[in-house]
Parts: sequence; structure tokens; C-alpha cells
Amino acid sequence: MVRFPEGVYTDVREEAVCSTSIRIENDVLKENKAKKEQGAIIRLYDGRRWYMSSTTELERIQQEIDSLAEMAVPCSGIEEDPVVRKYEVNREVMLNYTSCDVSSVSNEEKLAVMEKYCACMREYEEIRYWKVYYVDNHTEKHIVSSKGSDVIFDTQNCCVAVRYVLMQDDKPYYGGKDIYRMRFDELWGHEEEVRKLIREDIEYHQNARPVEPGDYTCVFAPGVTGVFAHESFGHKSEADFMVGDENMKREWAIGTRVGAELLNIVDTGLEEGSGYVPFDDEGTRAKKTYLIRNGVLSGRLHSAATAAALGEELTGNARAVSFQFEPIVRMTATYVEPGESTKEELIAGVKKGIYLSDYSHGSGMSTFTIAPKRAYMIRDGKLAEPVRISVVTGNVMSTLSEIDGVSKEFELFSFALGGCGKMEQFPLRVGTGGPYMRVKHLTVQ
Amino acid sequence: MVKEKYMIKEREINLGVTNGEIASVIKKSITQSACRAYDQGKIGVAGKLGEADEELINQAVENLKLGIPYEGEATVESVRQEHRGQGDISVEHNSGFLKAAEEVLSVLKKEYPQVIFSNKIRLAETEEYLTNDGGTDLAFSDRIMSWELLIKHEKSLNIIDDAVVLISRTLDAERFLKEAREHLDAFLHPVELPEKEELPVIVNFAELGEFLIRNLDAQAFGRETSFFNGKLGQKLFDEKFSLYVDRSMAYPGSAFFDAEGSTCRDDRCGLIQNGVLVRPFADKKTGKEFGYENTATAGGGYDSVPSNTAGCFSPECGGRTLKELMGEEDGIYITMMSGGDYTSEGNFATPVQTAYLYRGGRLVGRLPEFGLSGSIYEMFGKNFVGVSADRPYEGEHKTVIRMKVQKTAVS
Repeated sequence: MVRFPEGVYTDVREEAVCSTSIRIENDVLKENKAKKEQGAIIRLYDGRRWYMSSTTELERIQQEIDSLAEMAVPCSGIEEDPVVRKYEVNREVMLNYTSCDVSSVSNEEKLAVMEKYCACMREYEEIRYWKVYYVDNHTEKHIVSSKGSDVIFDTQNCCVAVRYVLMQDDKPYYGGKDIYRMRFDELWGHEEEVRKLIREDIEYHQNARPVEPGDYTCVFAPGVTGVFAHESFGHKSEADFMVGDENMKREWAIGTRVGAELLNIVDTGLEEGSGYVPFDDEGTRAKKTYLIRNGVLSGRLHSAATAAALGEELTGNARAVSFQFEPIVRMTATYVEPGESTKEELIAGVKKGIYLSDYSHGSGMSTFTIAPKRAYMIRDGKLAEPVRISVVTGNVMSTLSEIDGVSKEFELFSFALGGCGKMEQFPLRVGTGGPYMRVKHLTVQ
Repeated sequence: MVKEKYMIKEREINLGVTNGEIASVIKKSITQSACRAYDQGKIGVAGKLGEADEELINQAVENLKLGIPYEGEATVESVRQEHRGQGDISVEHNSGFLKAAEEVLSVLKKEYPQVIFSNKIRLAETEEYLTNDGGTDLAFSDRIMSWELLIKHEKSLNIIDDAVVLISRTLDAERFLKEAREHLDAFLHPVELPEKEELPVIVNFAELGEFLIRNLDAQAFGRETSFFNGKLGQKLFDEKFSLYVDRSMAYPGSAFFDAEGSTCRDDRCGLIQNGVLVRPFADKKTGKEFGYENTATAGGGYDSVPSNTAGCFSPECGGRTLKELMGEEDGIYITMMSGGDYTSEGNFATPVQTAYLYRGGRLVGRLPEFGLSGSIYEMFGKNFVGVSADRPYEGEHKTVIRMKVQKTAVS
């Protein structure tokens, strides 16, 4: 039970994280660790500044609060501060994963599930070097605030990730797949998905030739649509970039048309997967937020501070990578909603274009980029030869209006290794996804 | 059996900047400890937050039963202490830091009212210790002062336009202001891209070196998956291009020893020397497994089995400053370049989001977005101009390479 100082807003977020990391490389066990870490971040706000301290000494939380309070200037009306007024007061225990806690699964079982996927790697002589990872994480968070919040919740994931290097004519190709689940039992039985991917990668790497650079209509696979949604528009929806920026507020006013009528982009922490966070790191309940609805700007992502500054509602997007960091505005699971077309119809409508089947990475400023991992020419409405591409680029805002087809097929992706980076906070687990999507006038190099 | 303790202590005071004001003050104090046990070609590791205790050592011994092979031996009888922190500020005595940060922000806001400043100003101290009962006792500490302000023009529709950055060991507020002014003056003055197909670009090596580094991994050589497979000992690049694992004083924040306690002679080890591919980078056990020299590149999480890790790479600086390297020629100083990549043939292409025209020893104007391309052998071969002897911007030696510039690639 902590004692909150007068005249300031205070919250404390404690985290207990149980995690496992096992790595096998070319049949040699390289890592096998399981651990439990605990820590806390204390935040104190006096109406002008935030004062924060992160610590692993949980028994010193009260001293840390008192020490921060000495730096602050108490404010008699702190309860009426716009930021403080924004905070939800939630009192709830939401422990959904205690009965299937991955930390209670034995190390032998974790090695056994890995072995299934190691066996897949051994089947292909083209694979020169491979790694199979098992990672899991069960995190329990407890957030209390001087406004009365007291929330306890847990999140969990367990994943097998395979990574391999194919060689062809002395040129390496880096392939891989993540099997990301919330419960351990769901990790079994995905071997055929892995084999299918490897076969496709081998064929691609053997036959791909450099693309002829130019302006193309591209059809994105769901994974590519997802990274486009995240990088090109998701980051622009993070409201901390807009605070104090009158020009951005005018240009990005809710209700502004920003894209094609068929475009809907959503962010939500409610979907199970790597973007699942039932409460954010300020104790705000997760919500589903339409960023773009029917091509019109409909919402953006907020912490309490940004919601107060812009006069908008909380969205549950104040997130931190760990107790060592303060929550900042971040995405959860961001995706383009499905439409009415089929994948085949989207491809059939392209005379000469490119199908982006998979990607290595993407980025998004005023220009977005996608570095494809696998891509194929589309000729006369049919998939044709594989091509190697360094980068696909386009202007974010004009590209949103160049989307002219969205499929009914839809996939939401979670990621076992890595995550989203913003400022110094990396990697944060997020989800991305979407349908197949057709986009005109992209620059391909 | 050799028992070992590895500890990392990090203390930090971090000022969050919003709209040019200090909006938050964040203190951190994190200690991470691992114990390792080495016995009969196996390693056991256990880690915890906080200081190591007897229970952690026992857990590491117990973890030997997991059967993780460790081809190397523990580092024995290596003793060295080095403390590289400088200056009269510290995380503990930070009033000078806070005052300087407030003053710098006040000046920048006054002089550049059309620019929005955000992000972090950070003072961090790191300590690393590796001790074992084989007589090894290594200790390192350092202090890093980083000014990392994101900038955005008030009329820009980007979420950020650029960053003004300076990383050093001392406060350097005046130096930061001087560099920031040159940078911001250029930022506010748009200029056209020179009408040339190829231009010298000025970058940090890391921006273009990722493909080289990935393919210099001893694992990749050992498994024959490197792009440079079979080319050890060959001259592949320009005479002026040399690349080192560098754990010297020259680079703030990196300890002189790696996560296995290995060190390099004079804290440097050449991978590419005068254009010749000399050796891949290898930690102790990767080196032993594949027959390569240990280059002190073990890394990983504090409680991981150490593994070969890309880090601490730097190209050899030449004898000329950036101004001397560029001579009378116009160059392009790149500050934001993201999203591009190399193909498996070693061809590189990327959009450049923010760049400046460099002329006569200074930044003279901001360029529009453009595309950049080249190939690995040309970029570090005939098109490699050099690495500056000085650190004219961001506290970094700057690498200069001629590359193809495409006006029409983006925007």
C-alpha cells in the first residue's frame, strides 16, 4: 500500500515478467534460459512537469515517490488539471492467462515443440544455416494511481520462430516464419506451413532477376498491407507528434478526407496477438479506434496527456516497452479492414504490375518505403516471373488515394522477435495486418 | 569449473522535451547481473535484476545440466580497470546538466521560433564488470551525454523533419548550440539538388555498412552463407577503406572487453585493411568452432550465453578533415535515410528523407527528397572517398562515398 503525496498526481506500475528464450542453430543448443524479472516505474505530475523513476528495488517504491515529490511543486488544484481529469479510474483484476501460464510448461515440452520445426529445417539441402527460436513471456502488471485506479492484468505469448539462409550462386537469401500464439498447445502442428514457405523461398531465390525500375501498380499481400498501415499511417496517428503543432491540428482535423472511399484503418488492443493489451500502461482500458473510416480521418491514438492537449478521448495507447520506460503513444494492432474483392480479382485487373508477396522491412515519413523480400511481376492479369527489388516507395498521402482494391481475405500478424521502435523504446510488441490491397503509381527500384 | 560474474549497472537522468520545454525528468538506476559456470565444454548461465548472490551462482551451476555446449574457455588471468567518464557533471550531481539543458532549449526556441523541438536530452553512466575465479577482473565505466532533439518546421506535415544530435562524454552545450545553429540555418533554407548523376554523400558509416557487417560474421563464413564467401585475403575494396572492431576510447559507451571478457590488442582489430578482407568478426567460441581469430565481439543479453554480435565497428579515419576531403566539390550531408535495402546481389537503393547541401566546409541549405543508389563493391571501392579525421557533426567521424542520385525517385 503506497502513500500518495498531496498536490500531485502519482501512479505506480509494477511488472512481473516470466520469460523463456531457447535457441537452436544447425542442431546445436545455443541458449536455454528462463527468468523472472520484477520492476516498477513511478510517475508523479505536478501540473507542469512529470517526474519519474524506474527501479528494480520494489521495497523502495515509497522512498522513490517521496524523492520525486521533493522535486515537484505541489499544486492545490491538481485534480482539476486537464490531464489528471482525463485519467480513467478502473478497478479490476483481469488475469486471463494464469490457468495456461507458459512459465508452468516444462523446458522439455518447449524443446519438444522446437524439435518439430528443427526437423523441417533438416529436410532441405538448400538451407545452409538455420536457427529455431522458442520464446515466451507471461507479464503481470499492477497499476495504481492517486486518482483511485487499481488494475491488475496479464498478457502472454509463446512463439516458435524459424530463420534460415538459402544459398544460390553464392548469394544468400534470408527467410523465416513466426508462429505466435497465446497458449502453448497452439504451437503444435504448423510444420506444413513452414515447409510451404521454404519451398516458395527456394523457388523464388533460384529464379528471381533484378526488376526493371519504374512506376508500377502493386498488389500487396496481407503482410505487406499490414506494414504499410503501420508505417505509413499508424505512426502519423500517434497524437504526441501533434501536441503544440497548430498546423498539424488544422491539416489533420478529424473529418478530413485522406484516402480512397474503400479504405478503413483500425488500431485496437482488444485482439489477441502481439498487439493485445487489455489496459495500457496508464491503466486506460483498450478500445477499438478507427483511424480512417471510408477514407476519412476518424481518430488518432492517445495517452492521457495528448488526449487532454487535443481535447479528444482516451484510446488506450500509452505504452512502454518495460518498467524501465515511461508510457508514450504507441500503436497496438493496426490493420486495414477487409473489403469486397478477391485476391484473384485484384491481380486480374493489372496489365503490368508487381505482386509484393512478403517484405523485409518498411518505413514511413512523408514517403513510405517497403523493402520486399519476395515479389513477382504481374503480366496481363496473372502472376509471372519473380523479381528482386531493393525498395518500393510512394508519397504516403497521395498513395492513400491510389488504393483502388481491397480483398475480402484478411490476416492479422503477430511477431515473435523484434517489434516496433519509437524514440529509445524498442522493441514493442505490436500487431499488423490487412487484406490484399491494390495500389497504383508506386516507384519500384 | 570456472565460475564467473558479469554485471552491468546503468544510471541515467533523462529529460523529456515537448514543444521545446522540459516536460519530464526521468531517473533510472538498473543493475543487471549474471553468473556463469564453465565446465567440461558446457556453460550454465543464470541472471537477475540487482546484484548477484550465492543463489544465482548455484543456479548457474545447476543450469550446466541444460547441456549448452561452449567450445571456448573462460577468460582467465585478465586484469584491467578503465574509467572513461569525463567532465564535471554526473547523474548524481546533475544540476549543471538541468540548467544547461534549459538554457540551450531557451536559446533554440528564441532563435528558431518556427521550429518545434522534442525528444530527449540524456546523461547516462554505465559500468560493466566481469570477474571470475580464474583470476579475471575487468571493470569499465563511461559517461555519455547525448543531445537528441527532433525538429519539425511549424508548417511541415511530417511528424518529424530531422534531428539535431550530439553524442559525447562531456556536456558540450556550446558545441551543441554551434552545430545546431548551422544545421537549423540550413534546415530553414531550401536549395535545389545539384544537377549531377553522381555526388559525394556524407553519412555515418552505419547507415550504409549494414550489408558489409552482416556478411562479415564468422558464422556466415563458417556456414558458407556470406556474400564474401571464399574471398578472405582478397582485395575487394578501395585502398583507403579499412574497417575495425574498435573498443578504444574513441567511441563512447563501448567497453574495452566483450561479453566473454575478450579484448583486442590496442582495443582494435582489423576486418578489412587497405581494401583487403582480412578476417571475419568472431567471438571466442565462434572463432574456435570455425578456426577464425577472436575479435572480441561477444555480446547478447546480460543473462544470455554470449554469442557473436555485430557492434563496435568503425572505419579507419583518414588524415583529412571533412572539409579537406570534400575540397571544392559540393556534397550531400544525409541525416535521415530510411527504408532502403541491399538486394542479395549487393545493390543498394533508398529514399533519402532529409539531406543538406555541403559546400565550402558547412551546410548551406536543405535539399528536397531524392533517391540514392549504388553497389557494395563500388561504394566501398572506386567510389569510396574517405572518412573524416574530425567529428564535424553529431560527434561522429563522417564517411564520404560517391553515389548515384535520382531526383525523380520519390515525392
